[in-house]
Amino acid sequence: MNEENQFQNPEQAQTPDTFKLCHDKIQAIRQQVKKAVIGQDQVVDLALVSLLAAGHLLIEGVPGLGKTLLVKSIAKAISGNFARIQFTPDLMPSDVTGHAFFDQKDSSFKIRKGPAFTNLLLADEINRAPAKTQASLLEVMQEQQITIEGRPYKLDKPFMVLATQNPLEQEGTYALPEAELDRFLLNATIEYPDADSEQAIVKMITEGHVGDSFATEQIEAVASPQDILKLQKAVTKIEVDDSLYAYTVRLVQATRQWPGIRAGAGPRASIALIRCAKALVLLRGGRYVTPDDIKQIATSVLRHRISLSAELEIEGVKVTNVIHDILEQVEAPRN
Amino acid sequence: MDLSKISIKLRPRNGYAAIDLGTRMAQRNWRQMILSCLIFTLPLYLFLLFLMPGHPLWVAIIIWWLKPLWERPLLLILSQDVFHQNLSLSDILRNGFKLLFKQLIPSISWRRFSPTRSFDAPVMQLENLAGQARSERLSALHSRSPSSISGMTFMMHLVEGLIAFGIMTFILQFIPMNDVEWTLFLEELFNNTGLDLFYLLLSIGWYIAMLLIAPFYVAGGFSSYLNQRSIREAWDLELIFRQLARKHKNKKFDYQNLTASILLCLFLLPSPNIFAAEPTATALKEDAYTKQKHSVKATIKRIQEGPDYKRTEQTFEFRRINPAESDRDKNKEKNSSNDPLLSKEVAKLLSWLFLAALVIYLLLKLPAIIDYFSGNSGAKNKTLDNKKKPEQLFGLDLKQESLPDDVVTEALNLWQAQQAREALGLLYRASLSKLIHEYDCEFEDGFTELECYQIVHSKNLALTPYFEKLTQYWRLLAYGHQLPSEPIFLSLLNQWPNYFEAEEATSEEVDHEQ
Repeated sequence: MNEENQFQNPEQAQTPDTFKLCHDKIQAIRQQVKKAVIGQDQVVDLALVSLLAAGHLLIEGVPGLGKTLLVKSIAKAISGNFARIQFTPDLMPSDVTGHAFFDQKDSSFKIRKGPAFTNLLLADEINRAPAKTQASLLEVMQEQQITIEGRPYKLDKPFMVLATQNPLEQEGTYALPEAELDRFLLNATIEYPDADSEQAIVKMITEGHVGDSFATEQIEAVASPQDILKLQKAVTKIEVDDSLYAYTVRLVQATRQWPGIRAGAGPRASIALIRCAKALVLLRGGRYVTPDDIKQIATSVLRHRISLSAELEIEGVKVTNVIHDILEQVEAPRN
Repeated sequence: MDLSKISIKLRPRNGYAAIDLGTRMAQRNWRQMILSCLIFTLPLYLFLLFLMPGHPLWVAIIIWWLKPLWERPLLLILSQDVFHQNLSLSDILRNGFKLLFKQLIPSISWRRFSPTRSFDAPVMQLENLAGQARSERLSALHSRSPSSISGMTFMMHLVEGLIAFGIMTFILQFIPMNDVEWTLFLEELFNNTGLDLFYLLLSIGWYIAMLLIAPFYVAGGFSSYLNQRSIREAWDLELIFRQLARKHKNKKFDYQNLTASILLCLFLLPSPNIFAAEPTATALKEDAYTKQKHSVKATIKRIQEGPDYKRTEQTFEFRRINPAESDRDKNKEKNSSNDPLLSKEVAKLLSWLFLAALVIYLLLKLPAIIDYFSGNSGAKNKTLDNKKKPEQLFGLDLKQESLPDDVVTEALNLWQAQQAREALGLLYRASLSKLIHEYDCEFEDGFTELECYQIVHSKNLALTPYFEKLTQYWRLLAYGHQLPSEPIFLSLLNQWPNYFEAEEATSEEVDHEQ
């Protein structure tokens, strides 16, 4: 993220334009979110990349590290709606999407929209719900519409799902199938904050607040949902050289042929890599994608799309290590 | 040689049955043979490894080359065991060292690659034959096909290779390569000792494989040799005759029976009518004898017609045949289907084809092998100095030969010819090439321009600010499709010799001074 410090683009610096305005807007949102979410800069950036690329984010990590706060903060900063679903083993698909009910007052069926009708949806502990309920949410993510009683309802835009997943080793979890995981644009891991960040969190929560939850009052709404749609449009204008498309495909294809990988990433991963790299470039204030942008985002894009062979899993090799090897060994773009 | 004391069952065997017998002999003496191998080879192996730590494969090759010498004590053990004589360790050492120098030069030079080496060894070692006598003897013994011996040699080589690679892979599996501490420890160990992990493991694996295989190889050849001699010299018959002769010789004269017989005759002589008195009884006995004789003959005939006497055995051998008869034989072969000889021929042909392919492959790989043994084995250690420099990065040819003699003039020409991308590309390519070949910058295939810059930055070179600027404008052109302005390009062009050609000149001066 410190690339701009090393390589200031002189021409860009002199000519502020749409991209510059977009960058400023995103930085404003970022600053607001970071007011509340302390010590998790990487996850904040990935969430914003996901928002800019109009994708969905899967967050892995133990409870209590600020996942709900992250979604709330983003929703507040972009003046969007926010909803939260706690996935449990008895959660039904209609609890996510909504359902029709018979209103005895006027003797007609009425639609009660579910929590999925929002801008930002936090699907907490998605792997605690059975496959049927998970699938209902994933269908919403893919189609961006919900069908109730045969009638389709479009979701508000922008729509983003931030799903959290507990580590699979924990009891009572249902692993998401590969096809469903593929629907998530990015996979972020949220780690414990460092000592300084944790100290800042404790101080902030305990000074002038009742309880242990962080109030998001101090977060200002610096953008609107329409602004986000414009930013998403701007992302599509970021320039990508042909060699980078080839590089992306090479990377993804390498995951299919790499020894020790049971199931590699599909074409959706190549698309996601370019989309995320473009969003990352806009977040940084650039105009064109470089191989470094793709490399930087590759781990988050590929991590949940790759399954290691049993042999490597037994040996304790992590997916990130394998992706790192792939990034080191796949030839950089050819011009 | 007293055949009566021989410990193996002497009977004519086919080639592979004889090798089976050898395997049993090797199993029986395995411990003693392995010990002997270790005594004669391990000190040499360790000594050579100490002398040439950077060439572990050479060490294994030397041990392999000297195989005919250190296999001799094994043959000594087997030859004594065949006559129920167990050698002590001191006997093996004493006699083994004497044997080492017997026909030393031929054994490790032109006879080294004989496919029937283990079969021929007893002629030299046990029969003490040399020169013409040895050749004639071998010619006689080889007259019956020694193809099983060649086959065994071939198979033993394959098994030896498999075991060597198996051991190497097995050891590698147990090295925790993902453990950083282990990796650092191994790197430090091998950097300090100059050893090469891969080739050291291969060498150790090969050495162990040689130790494991040698007893079986020697025993297989020796048992085949015994079998051939047994067939040619009818040892089995000789042994039977000897046993009969000994039995006969050992039999004492029975005076008591003789006396009793004489007395019986004397007692019967005065009354010859005794025999005539019972003519009918004698005739009856003869009839019974004749009937029994016929019955026995019928039984023998029935047994001979049974399956035990209908067993057929096929042997395979080369024979000089009459050309006139060969056509007839060919016709016979055509008529006969599913001939096992034919499948043997095919198998044999395939084996030779495989061998030929292996030789061709090794010949093709010869330059690489020579390169390895030309003293650059340290290159296999991933040290900075010896690591292979990349010849291409980001699609740019980085070989020094590919660069024009005057990079600046060439780049300027390209720029003036409106080929701005090629011009800046040449400047960047030339810079990378210089950084790789003259500044020992390690750039991997997967490195991006920014990562290359970070490598240069970490080296604190004087050219770092210039390379940063060059990288920035190259990236802007390559991925942002934005051309640098002419003053910027000319500035980059004019500064380039200050950082790269000046350094080259300095290094050349240093070289001259040295």
